[in-house]
Amino acid sequence: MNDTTATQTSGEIAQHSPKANWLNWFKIVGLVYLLLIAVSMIGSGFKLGAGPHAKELFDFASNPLTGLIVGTVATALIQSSSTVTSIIVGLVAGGLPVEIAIPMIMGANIGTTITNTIVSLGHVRQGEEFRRAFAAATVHDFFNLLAVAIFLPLEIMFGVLDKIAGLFAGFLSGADSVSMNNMNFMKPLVKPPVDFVKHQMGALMPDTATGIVMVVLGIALIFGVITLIGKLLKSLMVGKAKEILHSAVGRGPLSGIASGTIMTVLVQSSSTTTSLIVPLAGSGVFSLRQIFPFTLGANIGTTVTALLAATAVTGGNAQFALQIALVHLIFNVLAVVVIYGLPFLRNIPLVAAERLAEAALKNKLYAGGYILTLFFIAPLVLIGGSQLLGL
Amino acid sequence: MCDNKQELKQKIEALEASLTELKQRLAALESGEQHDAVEHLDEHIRVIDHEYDSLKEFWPVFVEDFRKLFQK
Repeated sequence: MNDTTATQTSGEIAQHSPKANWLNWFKIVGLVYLLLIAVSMIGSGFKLGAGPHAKELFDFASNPLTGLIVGTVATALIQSSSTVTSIIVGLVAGGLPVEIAIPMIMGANIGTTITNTIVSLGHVRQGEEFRRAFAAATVHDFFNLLAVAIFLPLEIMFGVLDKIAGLFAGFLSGADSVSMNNMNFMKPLVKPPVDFVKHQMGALMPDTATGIVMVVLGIALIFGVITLIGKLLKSLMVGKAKEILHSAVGRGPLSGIASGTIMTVLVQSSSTTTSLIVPLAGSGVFSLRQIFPFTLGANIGTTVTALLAATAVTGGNAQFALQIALVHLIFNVLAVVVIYGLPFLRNIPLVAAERLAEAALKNKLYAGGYILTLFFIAPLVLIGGSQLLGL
Repeated sequence: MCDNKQELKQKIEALEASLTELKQRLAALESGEQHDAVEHLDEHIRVIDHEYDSLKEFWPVFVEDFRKLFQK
């Protein structure tokens, strides 16, 4: 990256000339195209490699708890829910059953909260500022945990999200007016490069190996592309993000949710939105109750990436790819409506985050122990336990 | 007695009016502070890109509290 397009210098956002801005927007368009190719490559590779055995390959995750943990740990390690959900969309396009993918999507929601929690740790030597920052970060964790605690059992028992998303996906795929089938302009754009890779690899190795290489390449490409898109958008959109936040000041929770959603769509990263809020809360200028709606909006805004990824999928599984992307959106919207809509549920994440932050202020072992337990120890224990019990 | 009651009502109204005014002034003050903080949003972006610096900051404090646990 040259000087004119450098995204940051010495911790400050560089001023972009209009020419550099245009160049960055062209880069983003190119990166989105690469994202679509990567999702399609995962789908084709998985189909080629697994063939009719896609379901059996993911048998280990047929236990919803395992799927949830896979989604949580993968996202916590990669620190990007957009990357994980796009990969899941690609895998569903390749034959991964939607019901196995749903808990993984829920896990991605939990895993992504690690970033703002880590950011809040930077305030550790500032006493009260640390307490406020840590509470602002963990309120997002507790909200997502509560959302999973409510919706995962409902999903296991009644398949609520599966059915609602299936209905919408069927409508969007089948209706004449807004048909995904009519979006076949994606096929000539995405298929040639994927076919090129498939044929080149196919000449060198058997189908199964080609499929595996394509999946790995696709995952690596998604990771790189989303990281680059995030960096570019962060620098291009910071002014817009300020405008959005200014417009939400003093306007109440609905405006906060809308602002968090729009801001996350613009920067394509819920971690960026929720992490930017942490220092605002840490300084004490915004209260925990005031920043809470922004984090909920971030959950909704981040679902756009998976929806975008789903547009890359063509063929028989396109409807399922769209369905899993819609599951992500519907889950997050319903969680906000149910948890934020009901006052007794709304207060649970707030109270839990405040209590934990108070304990962490007195002893930092609570903060460290909490992060290790939520994102790594508890998942390992749960996976180990469920394997031992043969669940 | 009646005068006293009227007088109390007037005092309450006056207090409520000044309370409302104080609340509005506080809200305006808080709102101004929030706009100022939002204006400095870009300063925090560096922190997000270097979140491991936050972990480095946290680690020695965490280790210190861990040692205290065994010193007791």
